[in-house]
Amino acid sequence: MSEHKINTEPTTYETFTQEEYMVMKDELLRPVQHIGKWGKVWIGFLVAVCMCGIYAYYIQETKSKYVTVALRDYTMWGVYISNFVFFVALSLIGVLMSAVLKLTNFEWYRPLSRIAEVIAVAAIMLAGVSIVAAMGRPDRLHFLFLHGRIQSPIVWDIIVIMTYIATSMILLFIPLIPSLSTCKNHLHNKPKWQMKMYAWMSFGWEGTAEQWKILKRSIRILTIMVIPLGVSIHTVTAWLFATTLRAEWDSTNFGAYFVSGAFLLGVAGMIVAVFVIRKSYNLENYLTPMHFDKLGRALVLMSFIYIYFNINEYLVPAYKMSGLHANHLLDLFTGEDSTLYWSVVFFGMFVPAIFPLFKPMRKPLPLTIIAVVVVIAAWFKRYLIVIPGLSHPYLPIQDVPDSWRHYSPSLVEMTIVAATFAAMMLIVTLFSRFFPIISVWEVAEGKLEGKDEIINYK
Amino acid sequence: MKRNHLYRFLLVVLLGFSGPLFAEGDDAKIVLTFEKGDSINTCKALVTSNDTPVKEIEVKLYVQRMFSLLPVGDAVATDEEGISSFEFPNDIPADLDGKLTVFAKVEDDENLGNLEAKGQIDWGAPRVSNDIMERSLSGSRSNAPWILTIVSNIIILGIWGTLVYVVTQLFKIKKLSRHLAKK
Repeated sequence: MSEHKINTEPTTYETFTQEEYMVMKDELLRPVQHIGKWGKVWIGFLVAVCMCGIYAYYIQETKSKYVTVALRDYTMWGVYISNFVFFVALSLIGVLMSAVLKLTNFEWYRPLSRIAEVIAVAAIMLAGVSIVAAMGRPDRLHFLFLHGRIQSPIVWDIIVIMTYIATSMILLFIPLIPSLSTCKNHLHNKPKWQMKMYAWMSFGWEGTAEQWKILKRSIRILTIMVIPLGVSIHTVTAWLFATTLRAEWDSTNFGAYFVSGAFLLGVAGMIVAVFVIRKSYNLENYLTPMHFDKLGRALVLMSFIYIYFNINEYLVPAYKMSGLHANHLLDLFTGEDSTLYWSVVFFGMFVPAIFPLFKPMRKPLPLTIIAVVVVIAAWFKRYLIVIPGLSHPYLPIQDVPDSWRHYSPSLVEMTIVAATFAAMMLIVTLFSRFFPIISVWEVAEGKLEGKDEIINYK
Repeated sequence: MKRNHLYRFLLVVLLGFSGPLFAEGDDAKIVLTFEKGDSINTCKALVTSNDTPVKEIEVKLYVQRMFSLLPVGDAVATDEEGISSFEFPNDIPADLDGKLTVFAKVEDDENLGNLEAKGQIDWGAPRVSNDIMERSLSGSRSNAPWILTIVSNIIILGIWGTLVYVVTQLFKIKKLSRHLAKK
């Protein structure tokens, strides 16, 4: 490589020690270089689940929705919308695990940032898919753009989701450029089109001081911008509910409550992703027990913040127990949905707030088990926010079929929801099979920390 | 089973004929009339039984709302001529043409049972909404409040402008590399 040194301009930047870098590069490119049997089986499984989802959607749209979907006049928002809220929440992982840590100079973010960003992109895309699945007339989707009113929170949501998708994709892509150059130069035995793709996408990256300067400045601009955007996207999602005239959503606390919940889910999602990627790609040298320790602490902090907002959200109206609030709250506390509600409180808030306080619980495996529990509880938490309150409308339910009073998702709905999860994992898996899931240059740069140097490699 | 059906049929026929027979003896009804005054509109309900006015019968007045009947004032007893007079308020919200459906009712009277009459009159206060025409949150797309339109457009243009700027930077990176290649 040395004969290709192109950093000829007078600069303070130095060439990175190549030996150390070569080892790191080989390890981080391994998942892209070679896909094992189980890797293919996993991709095949995810594709199969996605196909089931597409078929279920075909059934939903071709047969009457009254037959295929359990949504009725009262529960007009079901698992699709709660799934949408879940995915929007998950997409904030990029804000917390990449942007916030980066800007606050927490160095341990380096191997995590790309994982977080790719999950964010996948999650926000699937949030959009969930909304389309929930639409009564998806063929009129473009009407939102043609006739949408800026006064409507639905339009704010569409605007902010599209902006967040664009920003997250660019923020994922720009730090990828040096890695694409690495792929182009170091991968072998790959199809021609793949190598061409790397060449085309690396934007003629040569690692000059000038190019680094532009790259770093662009990343910085986007990193700063993505934080208010991420907070906006989930706040607007909360407003979709809070601006609707329903007792259970009538809350000024909703934006902050949703954002804090998203950060908790983000940390838990990150722990699970890091554990799986670490094990399946043998990246123990980069995703270390130190990361789990830090993520465990972050999990505790986020849990307490979320508990605080939950107390505001539930205990204040419960103190007053007024009218329709009482119906909904008693339903959750002691009624039909109480088992689910208290399970979510225990597994989704108490467990992550208390268990990782103890050091052994912050080791990779125990912490991942806790995180899996938190992710599952977080999905049901969104279910509890969206659905049970709908059975307590302002005009009392009278003389309606029994199926209108209770909601349990149909097989078609659950298949589509399962497919959205599979699609999210498929996007992350395929990404990690075509691009280094851990940013080679960011990790390398971290190792040079304090030396005022930057890596120049091809 | 067949015999059972026959009994039922006979019962229905019997009841069908007996209804008018019983009613013939006590043909009570309410006739609702509306009198427009200079400042006060009056609604009159004449209660008769076998074409004879009935006095001291309590009549209640209602207007039809979306889900139920709204009482208009208290019940008024009929006078010597069998008439209950109601002063009709002029501020009851109605649809765009001001039409109200008014009900006069005698409820659970010992002799007359339940009687009801209804009529339509355009004495309601038309509910005219200019919301869609005015600049408001409930207005049409083109009538959004100025502040919302301006602020949202500034934010959207600001953010998308930044994104476009960042993308142009990518091409700058490419340009730099070509520049070097030429050298």
